[in-house]
Amino acid sequence: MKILETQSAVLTNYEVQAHLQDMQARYQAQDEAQPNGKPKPSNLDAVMKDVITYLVDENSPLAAPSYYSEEAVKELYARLEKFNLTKAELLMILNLRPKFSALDPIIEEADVRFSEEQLQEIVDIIRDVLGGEDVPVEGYEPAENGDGGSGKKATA
Amino acid sequence: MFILTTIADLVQIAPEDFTKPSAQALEDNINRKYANKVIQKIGLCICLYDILTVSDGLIGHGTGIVNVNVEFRLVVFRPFKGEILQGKILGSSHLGIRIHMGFYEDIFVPGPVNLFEGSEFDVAEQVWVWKAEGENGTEELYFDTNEVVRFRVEAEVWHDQSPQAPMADDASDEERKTPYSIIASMQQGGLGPTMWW
Repeated sequence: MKILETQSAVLTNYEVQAHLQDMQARYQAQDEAQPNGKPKPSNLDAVMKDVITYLVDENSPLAAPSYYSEEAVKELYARLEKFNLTKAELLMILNLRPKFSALDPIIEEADVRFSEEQLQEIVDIIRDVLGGEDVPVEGYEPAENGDGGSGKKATA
Repeated sequence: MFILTTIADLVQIAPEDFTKPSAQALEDNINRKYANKVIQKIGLCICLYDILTVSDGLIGHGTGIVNVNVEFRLVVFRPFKGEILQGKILGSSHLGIRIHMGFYEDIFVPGPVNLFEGSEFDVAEQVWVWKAEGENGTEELYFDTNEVVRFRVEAEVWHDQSPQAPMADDASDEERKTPYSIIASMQQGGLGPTMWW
């Protein structure tokens, strides 16, 4: 084993979730095509389940129903560009979807760099693009098949 | 908190895996070796992300194993210093608070140094309590078990678990240390249980 590059890129939680669910779907299709085939490595199975469970936990911004999509991420970055936030700050904003009171530790020296109005504007943009606890997701009916996906995962 | 790491490795495909498509055989092999394992100074490997280059397969004398040189990228859990993460309180002791993230549970917040000023350990309840000075006098806020918390990554501790030559004077086996643990803090507004903020 040789490490060629320690950090080739940084991934957001959304990208990891998309990649893992992609893999899961692929393995599922394979199992259906070949019911007697070899199962996937058990260590992979365990870590995949745990990471997906963590990422779509009810307290996570990625929990279904979620506002996250490739377009949403691009839109968020475009609209927050004028604030000159660092890459790390943007990453944490995307992963945590902070409320106003939770912004302070995420943005370094927030009170020096930004006025209260600007911080409020940042929070408004985040809410606008990524949603929040009190923002209903359009076209989502909680009683219907909305959480069928996560239920299936738990029993898989 | 997740990064991509590029690695070159020799993958050996055993004959019983020849029924699989080559890409699948490589992927399964790489995942079997790396998924859910810690590489020192790299982080906790989650799974294969993509394969960059693959050499031709070579078969050595005596075995039917195909040897392939592969360059690939792995998804790795490695939060940077200063990153804010979300987890749940696993338990508390007089030494501090342990936090878990489901797939990773070696996060420790030493108390009271890395907690809010005025935090004390309640021995009877076995929880840490932040006695916050508010407008209405002192308010007691509890770091209850299973509470969803946000914390800041302060430092990482590595312990290489690869076997070492036994020392002559010390016959007893040393306790196994976790290969990769994170020291965190909760002492700024916005950190600690999410319901506070």
